[in-house]
Amino acid sequence: MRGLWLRVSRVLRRKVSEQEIDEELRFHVDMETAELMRRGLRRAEARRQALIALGGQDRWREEVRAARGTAWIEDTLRDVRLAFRGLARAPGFAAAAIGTVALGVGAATAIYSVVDQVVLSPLPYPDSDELVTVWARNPGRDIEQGMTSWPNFVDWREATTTLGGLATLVPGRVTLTGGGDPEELVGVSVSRGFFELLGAPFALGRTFRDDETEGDFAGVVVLSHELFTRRFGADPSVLGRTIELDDATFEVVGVTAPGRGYPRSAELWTPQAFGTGRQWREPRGRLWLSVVGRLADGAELSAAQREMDRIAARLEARYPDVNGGAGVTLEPLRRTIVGDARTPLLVLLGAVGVLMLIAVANVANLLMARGTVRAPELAARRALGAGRCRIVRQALAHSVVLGGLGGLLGAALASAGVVALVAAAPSDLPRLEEVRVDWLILGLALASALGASVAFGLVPALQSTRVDPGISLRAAARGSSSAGVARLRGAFVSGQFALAFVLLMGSGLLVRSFLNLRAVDPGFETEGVLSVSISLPPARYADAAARGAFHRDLVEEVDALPVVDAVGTISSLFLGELPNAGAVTIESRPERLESSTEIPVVTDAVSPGLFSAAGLEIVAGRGFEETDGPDDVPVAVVNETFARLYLDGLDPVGERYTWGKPYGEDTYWFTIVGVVEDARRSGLAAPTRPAVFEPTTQRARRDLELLVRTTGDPLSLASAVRAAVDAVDADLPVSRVRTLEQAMGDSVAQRRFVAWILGVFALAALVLAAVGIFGVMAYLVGRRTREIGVRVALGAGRPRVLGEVLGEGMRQAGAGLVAGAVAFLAMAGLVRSQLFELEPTDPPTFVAASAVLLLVAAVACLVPARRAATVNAVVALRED
Amino acid sequence: MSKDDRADMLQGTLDLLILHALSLGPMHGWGVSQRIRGLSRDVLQVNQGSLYPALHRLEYRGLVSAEWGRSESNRRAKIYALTPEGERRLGLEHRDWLRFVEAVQQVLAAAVPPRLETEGGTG
Repeated sequence: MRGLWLRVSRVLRRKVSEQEIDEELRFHVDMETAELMRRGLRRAEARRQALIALGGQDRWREEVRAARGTAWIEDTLRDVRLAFRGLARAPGFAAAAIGTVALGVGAATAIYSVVDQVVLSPLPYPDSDELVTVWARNPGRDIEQGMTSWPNFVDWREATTTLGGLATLVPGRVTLTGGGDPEELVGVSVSRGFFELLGAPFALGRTFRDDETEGDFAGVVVLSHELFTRRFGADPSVLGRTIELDDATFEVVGVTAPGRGYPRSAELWTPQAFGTGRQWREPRGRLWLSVVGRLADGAELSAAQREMDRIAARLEARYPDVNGGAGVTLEPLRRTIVGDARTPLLVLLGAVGVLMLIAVANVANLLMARGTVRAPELAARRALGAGRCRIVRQALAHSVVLGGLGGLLGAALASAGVVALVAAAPSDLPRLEEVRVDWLILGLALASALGASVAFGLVPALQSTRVDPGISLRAAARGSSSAGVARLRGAFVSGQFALAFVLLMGSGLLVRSFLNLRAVDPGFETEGVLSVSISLPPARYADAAARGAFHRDLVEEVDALPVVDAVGTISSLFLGELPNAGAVTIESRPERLESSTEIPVVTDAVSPGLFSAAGLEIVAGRGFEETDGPDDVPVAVVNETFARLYLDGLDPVGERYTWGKPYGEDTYWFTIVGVVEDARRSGLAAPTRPAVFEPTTQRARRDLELLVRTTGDPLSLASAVRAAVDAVDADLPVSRVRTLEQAMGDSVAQRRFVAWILGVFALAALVLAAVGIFGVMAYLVGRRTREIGVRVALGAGRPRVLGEVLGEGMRQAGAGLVAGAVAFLAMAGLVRSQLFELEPTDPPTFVAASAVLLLVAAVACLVPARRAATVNAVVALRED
Repeated sequence: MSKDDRADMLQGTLDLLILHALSLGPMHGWGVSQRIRGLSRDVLQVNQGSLYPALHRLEYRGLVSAEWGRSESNRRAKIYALTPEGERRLGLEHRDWLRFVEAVQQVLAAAVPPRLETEGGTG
């Protein structure tokens, strides 16, 4: 310890020591010179011999330092200083190398952080790997991930031993009133032990007591931390206060810890309540509950699945009429949440790896080029007595400083990049709000960049120490370098182009497929339409007549606005994962229900003006009219897909259908009065589902989307529409005010996000590859200045020189292109699932990607090529 | 490898010579080299490239102290002197050296191997 301190303090006084060493050296040389002169030599000769006797001064100083035991600290400091000075002397090289490392590390870390935390990381609950979603399955009715009934759930919960807990949840929209604007929130009613099962942490208060859940009604609510902060100013005194939800009173008993809960969109939780009626608690056929469970200690998912299969089979045998064909599927909760995002994110991950490879290849290339440039310098220092160890250490310091600076910049880029990615992401990408820079990944990226920098920085240093300084000095001065190194560097450039081509191809295909998607005819006429979501509180709109009146009044009120062309309501415009759907029986074809191949029919309520507001054409029969009153014959309009699947060969108008099976005289038949054109309501990429529309004048619902078609800018109507809603009912929340175009855009948001990120990637890759080829070409031309000068002097035309240099670069780029095409074709399967109406081998994309790459290569070659062609022969020859 | 071994041995010898030279009185670096040359009647030429590292090493180990003073010609010079520890070490190294020399002597005094002799004779 004391020894170390002594050394350090010596280092701190180093300036003095260095002077002392030099002074001692001068004294010695003077004395020796005087002695030699006494023996009869002339002054100059005496001094020369004195210096020779002393040996290499570099080495002498070094050995003195080594002898004093402070060498390693001083050396390190000096190496670092030298490295900085060296970088400052070659700013172009430094910028390229540091920028490459920063870009590679930054982009790779940012993307990886998003991918890792959205896809791969566990949920924010303890032992989240044990959490499963319990889906009700009924393949006969085309239900893979469906809901179950309360009696079935209770039987599952009692029978299972492999699941340590089971709870139900029912997400829905609730309206919060009182204290500020009414606000529509996502509320989830949950059964006993829901929070305990998840292990959800609480910031304040408590979870629900057992006597509060699963009863008729309990007015208690748990707030999400986000809602607690946003709506209640994070005031802890909100505990014990009451709030109004859908016109009922609830007491706040708890607040969850920060960070999203489950389901992730939930803003508040209420106990599962059934009301005083029996219609929710008792029917085994009423499927309305989502179920989440936790595997018992040590239980495997497969064992739990087998047990649930047995339980479901027992229930099917006992209740064959309602549970016929019903099974259970267990799915890890994480997959339920992440679901669809997995494949596109894995594609991104692959792109990150490719980008990092390009960056590493670039760093290697730059360092090796730099090493060749510095070979004479290294040789000179060797000749002056610098030890092999010193030279290697200095190269090491150079690489570490380079990699360190680039890494630092990359880390800054990474944290900025994460912010940018989150900002650019569509809001429905799951778990995005939790994304932070992943320090482990940053460390890995830094290590790989540093590793590459060190490895390829050492190559020239080690080479220089193997060769006799005299020989390498002469060779270096003449500017030759070994053919092996040149070949290696050419291969690096080709490799970079291959990787860049793969990225460019991938992003090009995704961008094109995104454009294809935009070009799909959605069926709607999206232009000039404002869309507004409204949800009616059940307490005040309990009966259909009140809801019908609301729809009618609202439409009248909005229609009275000056610039409105058409207005209508629809219960849900876009179809989610589980649209309101069921099986129908056509009166004239009763046998069809039994066939299990039928696709469930989507049902929605629309107001008479909806079809014209949405720009949907009636292709047969008629649309709805105000005269379709509640006491008239129930009518319906079906879409073209319905007509094709269920009524093929029949005239749809006048046909009748019913939900489920008809039961004799009391069967509630709907008469089809018209057919409307198909609309892509499940997203542009998804096929159209058979749908029926029922009029709000007969069966209005609580949730509605108001569509207003105008001649002007739809958004300028927003406040007028809001006022119209207030005129009908001042306590209603209005949400998701947007144009129909925006709404359509949201449904393709994920693809746009992936295409955008890959575009950024491809650009980064292109820049890196261009830097690579530019660096190598500039270097090669620099080496050949003399040769080119001679040839120009001998009469070679400048165009010819230009062509040759250009050709050399393009050869490498072309080789890379071919290799990249082969590699891409090998991986085509990976991207196919992400493409829409496009093959991975899409020729226009292939051509465009190749053209862009070759163009970049040409530009990167052209600058050094032009310099070569304008070489002044005399100057070039004199350079030696 | 063998080159390094010899260097180690010579280095040890150089240290002994320096310590001995300084035991005669404090002296600057050049003076030490002159003193060794003089005492060996010009037989031992200290490699000046290794003299100073050796001096600094000895200083670092505390066997020699160094101070800036005046040379005979009244120039500023770094003067080295033996420390008590250095004196003790000189005694030890001297004894070791004598033992080493004696051992080498004994080896060399032994009968010359006949084969070598015949070979030498025919050569």
